Amino acid sequence: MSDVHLNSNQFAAWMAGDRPAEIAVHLDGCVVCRAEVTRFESAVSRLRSSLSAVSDAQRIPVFRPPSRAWGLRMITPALGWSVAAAVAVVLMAVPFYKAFEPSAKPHSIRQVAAADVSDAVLFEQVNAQLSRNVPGAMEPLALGSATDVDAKATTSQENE
Amino acid sequence: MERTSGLADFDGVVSEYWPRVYRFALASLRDKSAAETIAQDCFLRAWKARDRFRGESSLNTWLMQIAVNLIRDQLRSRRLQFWKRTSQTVDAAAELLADKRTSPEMSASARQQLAAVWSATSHLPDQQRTVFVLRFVEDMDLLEIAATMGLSEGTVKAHLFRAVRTVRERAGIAAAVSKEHRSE
Repeated sequence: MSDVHLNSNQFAAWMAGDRPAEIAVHLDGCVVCRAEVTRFESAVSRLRSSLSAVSDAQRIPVFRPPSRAWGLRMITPALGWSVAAAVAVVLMAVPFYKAFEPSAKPHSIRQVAAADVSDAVLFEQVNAQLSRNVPGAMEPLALGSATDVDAKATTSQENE
Repeated sequence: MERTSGLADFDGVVSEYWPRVYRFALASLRDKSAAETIAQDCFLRAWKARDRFRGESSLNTWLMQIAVNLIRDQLRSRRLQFWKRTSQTVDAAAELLADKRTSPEMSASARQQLAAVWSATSHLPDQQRTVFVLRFVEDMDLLEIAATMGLSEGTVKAHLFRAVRTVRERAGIAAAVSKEHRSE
């Protein structure tokens, strides 16, 4: 038995299909390397037979030629990406639309202006109320006494 | 002539090649449900493209070519769903090893070795794994693999060389052999 065994690269090259004469000669004489090749081959063969057992146990479906129907299969990756891009553009445009909505500002200015007018009218009414000589409840009396004063003045002028 | 004789009976093509395509997809994706979807899509595409099959390659190579492309797309989209991939990978490996039908007489050490190789292939880059599976599971020669993957024979050999080296090291085959011989 040889003291020097196949290194990793020589082993891999042999398994990958390279068959140089010196490696073939070495494998003929080296029990360790031959065992390694056998072990690798049996490991991959086990993998093959295990996978074959699973695939053979699978039920083979009956093939039906596809009909031209609309379904999920019609959604190609390109179509999917296009829809996603369109949705993204719309979502990104929403804040801009809200900020620059044409009717938004004039409408709010109109509302503010109307509110200002009604406030001014109210203010004038309140001001008029406060500017009275007498409280509202005493206005008839105040009006009556004013009439009396006027009448007395007229009478005294006539007497003179 | 293979074109007419090969694809005229499409049901026959499906029943003959389905297990092969499914097995290749299962070994590549490690997920039963994804493998089934790939196999279905593969035959659907083959049906749609049947008029373009010129018979320049074998039917097996042509179908595997379609499957390789579908698996590559699937693996690309999976990278965006890494959480899903992890859980399914574990499930598929556990199912394969727990399935007594796979090999009832398999010893514990053989099961361990199978698990080690299965796990080692999961660490391979996509192209290396595809080459490894086509060579050792599908038993295809280097030229067939090159035609299937659209690569040169030299590139296929380089991928296979790296894949074997990784699997040998990761599966601990070299270490196990040395240990066996030391104990003899």
